[in-house]
Amino acid sequence: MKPKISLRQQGLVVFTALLAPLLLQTRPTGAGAQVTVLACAAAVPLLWVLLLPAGRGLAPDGPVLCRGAFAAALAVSVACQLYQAQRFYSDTTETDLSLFWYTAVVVAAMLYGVHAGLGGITRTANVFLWACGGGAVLLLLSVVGQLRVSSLQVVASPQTQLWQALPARLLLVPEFLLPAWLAPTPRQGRKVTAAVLAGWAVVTAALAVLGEAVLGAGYADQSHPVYTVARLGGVSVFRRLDAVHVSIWMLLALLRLMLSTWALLRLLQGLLPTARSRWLLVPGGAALAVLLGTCTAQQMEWVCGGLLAAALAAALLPKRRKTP
Amino acid sequence: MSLKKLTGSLQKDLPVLKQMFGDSMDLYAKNLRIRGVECAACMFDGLSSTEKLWVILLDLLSRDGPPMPDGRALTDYILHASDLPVEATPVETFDDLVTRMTAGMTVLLVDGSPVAVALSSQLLAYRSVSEPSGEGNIRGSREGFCDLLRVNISLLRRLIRTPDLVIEMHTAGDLTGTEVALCYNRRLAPPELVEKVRQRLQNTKIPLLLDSSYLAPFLQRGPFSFFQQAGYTERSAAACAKICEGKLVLLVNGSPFAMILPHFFIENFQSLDDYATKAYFASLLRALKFLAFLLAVMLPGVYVAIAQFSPELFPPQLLYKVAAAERATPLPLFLEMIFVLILLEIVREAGLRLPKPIGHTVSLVSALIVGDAAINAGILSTPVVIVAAFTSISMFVIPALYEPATALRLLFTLAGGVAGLLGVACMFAVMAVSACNTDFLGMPYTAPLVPARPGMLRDGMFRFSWRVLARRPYTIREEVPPHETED
Repeated sequence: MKPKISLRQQGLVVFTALLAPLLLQTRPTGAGAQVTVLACAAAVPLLWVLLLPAGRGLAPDGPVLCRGAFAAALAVSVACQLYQAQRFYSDTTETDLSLFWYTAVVVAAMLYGVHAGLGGITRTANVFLWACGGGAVLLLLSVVGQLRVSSLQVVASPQTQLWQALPARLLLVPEFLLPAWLAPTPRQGRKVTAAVLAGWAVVTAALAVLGEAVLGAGYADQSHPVYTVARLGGVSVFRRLDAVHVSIWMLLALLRLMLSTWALLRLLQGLLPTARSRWLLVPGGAALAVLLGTCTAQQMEWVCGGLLAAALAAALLPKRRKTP
Repeated sequence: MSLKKLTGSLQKDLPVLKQMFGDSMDLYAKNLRIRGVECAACMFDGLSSTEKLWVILLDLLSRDGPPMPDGRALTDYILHASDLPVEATPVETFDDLVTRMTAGMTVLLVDGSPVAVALSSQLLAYRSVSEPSGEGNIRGSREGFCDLLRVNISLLRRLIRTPDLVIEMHTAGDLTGTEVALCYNRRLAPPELVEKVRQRLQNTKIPLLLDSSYLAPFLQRGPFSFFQQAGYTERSAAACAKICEGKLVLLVNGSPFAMILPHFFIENFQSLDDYATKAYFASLLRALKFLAFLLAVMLPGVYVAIAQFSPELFPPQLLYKVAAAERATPLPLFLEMIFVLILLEIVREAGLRLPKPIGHTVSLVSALIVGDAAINAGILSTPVVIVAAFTSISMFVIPALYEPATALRLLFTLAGGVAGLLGVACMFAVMAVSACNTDFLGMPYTAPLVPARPGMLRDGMFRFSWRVLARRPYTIREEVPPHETED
């Protein structure tokens, strides 16, 4: 049974978790602010339509294939997030923290959150969102002297770039499906999904505009665009506020890990209810290990997106018949 | 304890009573004849006053009147026709007899009557009502709870003079039979909360109850948390204020600490003085206390994390000083910090448990030897001692959070030493989850901050002026589920 969480709080926790990949970027965006804004505006309705069957498919009586693919996507997403956060942290802080200690500390904190359950994770998301909001204000204050409206690049005909940038914006992440899974009814799920998508698009666009206003044309080529902006900022004698930002963003990554792992475990409880059926976890874990060993982060993100697309396609399958 | 009824025969009841207390030397039982009926006055020496007793009895004996036909008639006369200071309800069982006697009353057993009479002759020695030592205030009432339950109840009743104040008596402690008073405002306290606490109180099985804090584990349920869902106060005015917010107050006989249920995180940063000063100043103080909490918990961990993993974050001048100090000491920074923190806790414990004059000596010795000699000898570095001292001073601002803050501070230092700023961030997440996951019967410990409620602005992180607070006083009914989460 899923815990009762108000729709507002459901939206809030998913939205907060979605901020992590936006802030912890480790690859160049390849698109300027104008294209990003347009791509986001186009992506929101498209994603919303794509996600429409999610509520039906992820219901307890929905197709097993749908929930199975969703669980697999969550597993890949957890691995991706762990990898992305590790790479971001080591790139930005230049510490010689070993992979073992990184994994041990992050997984310990993550498991504590998972143990707390969705209620605890949701309330914690409020705290992290407050921290993130404070960090955002600090970030703006610290770079206000370097903001140049003239740095914003205007492309005369952005259509070509838009078509190139749109697939990246349409890439599905498991958090998009979470509102549909958590909400009591598909209709409520659709409402929360719309709100989350809108929030996600606004933040994505705002970050792109901020990044380009500070970094100019170089924004699209930065490996860590948001971090680079944070690194340039400073207030009075405080020149290393980036450490504060990195800490807050790592908290968001941790929240995303907690939420995804909690959802994954809940799904697996429903999918593999008996001890005998849990042997399926062995090949599943092995497949994930192979994926981790052979694929790049970008490829894993596409695998995750593919699994979610499969889940949505499976949601269109007819529902299981109830046994009399 | 026995629910056995009194037989009405002195020959039988008196030996049973004596046997129950194993012929204790403080048990006083005097046989006498009143209006021709055999009686026995039973009390505990020290709990009851023999002078008072004899004034009452002599008054009764000196009254002329016809002899009573039997014990029942005499009991009826004393209970209903005399003006003696007797309790309204007669004693019927041995259990009740013991309760009355241990409460300081004298019980008059009457031969031929199956009920006995309880006379009010209490003489209880107790610590007088005085100013609490551990809860300083500049303004407001100076009265603090004492150890006697009845006196504590009277302190509350004196402050809340409306019929809404309800005081329910319960008993807990198999070996001590301690009285517990559950106090609440029936108009403001959520009925489901009162009922749940009442049930849990009745189901509490504990061998002895010497302080209200013993009840905490029985009343608060749920997974492990660093934080307490119960608060404590020694001030009757503070308890009164909490009752006026719809909270429940538990008073335990023999303890001057009232337990407040539920207790929220933000309350650790509030004090009675907040409401006596200007609103902006009270808000500023709350922000300062919150900052002090973060410093007390995180400063050593952050210092170790930065110095060990990201020294470039220090300003250059500070970095040179830290590096020079660390180079001169034998222990790694991380271990040095843990060592100093543990040492400070040992010094604190020593100063707290020892008699006061020796306690001061401990502080002096530790300040001279640890603070000065260890630094001069190059065993400890000055920045580490400064950070630890600053942390301790910050801790004194929020004494209510001493226990979780001490444990968390060590964990933060450990995490910072092992994984740098990432460790500190992860530990912060653990602390946040721990606080956010704590609730009391569905009311979040982090209320009204998380999830954000209007109370947060009115009287949470900030305090609005009394004009605003008076318009819509805060009560915990705002926090009653279902409004957010319950697993």
